[in-house]
Amino acid sequence: MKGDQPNGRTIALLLLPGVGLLALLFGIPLVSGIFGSFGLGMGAGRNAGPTLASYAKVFGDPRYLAGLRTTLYYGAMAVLVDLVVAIPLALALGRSFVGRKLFNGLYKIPLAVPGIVVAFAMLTLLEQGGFLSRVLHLVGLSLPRLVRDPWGIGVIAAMAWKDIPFMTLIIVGSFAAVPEELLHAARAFGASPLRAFLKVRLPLAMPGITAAILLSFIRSTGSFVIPDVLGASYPLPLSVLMYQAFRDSNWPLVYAIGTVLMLASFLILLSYYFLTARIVAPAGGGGR
Amino acid sequence: MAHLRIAGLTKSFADAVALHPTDLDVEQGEFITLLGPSGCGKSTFLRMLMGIAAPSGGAIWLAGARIDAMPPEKRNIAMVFQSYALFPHLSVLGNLAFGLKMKKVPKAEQERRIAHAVRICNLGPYVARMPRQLSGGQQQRVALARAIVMEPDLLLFDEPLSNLDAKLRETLREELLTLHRRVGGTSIYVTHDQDEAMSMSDRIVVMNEGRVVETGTPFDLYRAPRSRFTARFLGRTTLVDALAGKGMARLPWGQMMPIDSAASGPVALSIRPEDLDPALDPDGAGVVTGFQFLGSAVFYHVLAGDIRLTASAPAREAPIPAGSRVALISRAPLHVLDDSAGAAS
Repeated sequence: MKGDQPNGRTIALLLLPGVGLLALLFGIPLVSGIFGSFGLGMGAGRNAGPTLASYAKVFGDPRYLAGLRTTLYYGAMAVLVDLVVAIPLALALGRSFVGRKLFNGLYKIPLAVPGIVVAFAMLTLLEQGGFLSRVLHLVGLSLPRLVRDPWGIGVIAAMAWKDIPFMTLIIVGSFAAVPEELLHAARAFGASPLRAFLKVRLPLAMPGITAAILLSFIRSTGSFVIPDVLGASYPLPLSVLMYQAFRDSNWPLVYAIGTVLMLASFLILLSYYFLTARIVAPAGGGGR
Repeated sequence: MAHLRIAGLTKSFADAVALHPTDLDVEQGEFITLLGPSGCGKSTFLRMLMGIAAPSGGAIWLAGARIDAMPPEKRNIAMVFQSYALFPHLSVLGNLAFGLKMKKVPKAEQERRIAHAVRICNLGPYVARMPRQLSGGQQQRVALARAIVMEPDLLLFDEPLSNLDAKLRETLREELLTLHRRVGGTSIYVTHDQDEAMSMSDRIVVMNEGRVVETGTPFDLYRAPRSRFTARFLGRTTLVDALAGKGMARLPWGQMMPIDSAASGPVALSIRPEDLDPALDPDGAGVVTGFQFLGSAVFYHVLAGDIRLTASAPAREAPIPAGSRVALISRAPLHVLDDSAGAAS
């Protein structure tokens, strides 16, 4: 039936309210940012483009390359710590124990604490002469350097503290979505509780867990307050360098760093899709 | 000792008893059905056999070893689940190999058993597929094959056909039985479907409200049930109060009919449709109020006195129209229930 087939213009019109709004609110600033990174649309002045000067700086100056490495390092380490804590926590929350309800509420508190508060709380807790070092001093121990340290322990601790509830929330959901009967089946077919977990529960919860890893990682690449307050002064992650460029009113550099940061996130997102597509559908075709 | 011996098995929760102390002996190769309405304790029973639920009391022996305290993975029991419970992230082959890998069966033996199960369950074309790419009936067969490869001492079925449509259910019922005979295993089958229970079982265990009501062959339980519950749950029946003496009983509508007991005094009778033959007779005791034409037989609803009963006739002739007066002719002695005390409600 020819009359039943809407033409291209009708489809475009129907899509306009949704897609149009998205393009307006999200696309225009994004595109103007990318343009800005080439010095376009900046008006006359020292930064007038088109020029690759800002990119030359980002990829030429060791400060910025170290910054990209630091961003990835903080993100990866924070996710690692998140996982080590969140998976056992999610498993514990899936069982019943005394005080589970209370605990279930308590562990979500960090979700409601703003990043800057977390950063300063960690600072007063971990710095030399802070709360923890004074407590340890009473028993004759001294605290190693945890704040502004070369390994970024303070940064990673604060990021993980903030992200663990978020991660746990998603992982609890993914574990709960695995039908109980499959675990019973695994046990009935000879799997110990540990093997039932490793061979059935974990693989089936994997899509949720990888999504949590991804989201958590991308959040941490944009995190600015925590590395600024708790991180070493060199190397700084890209987010902090971006802010410094902003303080210097070097807009093209701000945009260039932003673009690099975003590209890194997109690359991670793409590799995520690539990897999960292979994990989830090994036999190919007919998927849900 | 029996292949499977269950003694005093109980399960109670804080506020309720799910299974009262239960004994059951099952011989090697038997096909036993646990039959009862939902909530009768049959699923609890099965979960305790499998080891998913811990018994509150009692003991279970399987193939000479006491198993009630063993974790499920140590028991040599396989199960076919109601939802099939196939592992969705594994191919059909992966599902079949799962248990064998877990139990560390040698590779060559794994392959032999899987090839055998694939052949007898007709799964050849599907081994590489994922469970979600299979129809309900095919998934059912994979679940069955996965259990068969384990060569278990005991095979459990938890309402395995209840999610399928009627036609497929009947086909699979027969396939299942054929398989049971070929594999020669001992099986316990849980269902609430009396047709399934009667057509498949060597013996049926009728359960209600956490207790075993009665155990017997399908024929015995159908023809000569001891309790009202069994009489009603298995097939169609009319329970009628009567006065017995000298092998006969006076029915409420005044007729005398032979019974299968020497009891005298008030008794409860179970009258199956096939016990009574309705015959057109202007002076008959009953009036046909309606009928159901089933193809192989016709079921007549007959009002005799103030009793509504069902009588059947072969469907070779045109059905007797509603409103006709019929005589009720007894074809066989009527069955007297054991728990006759009180009114047959």
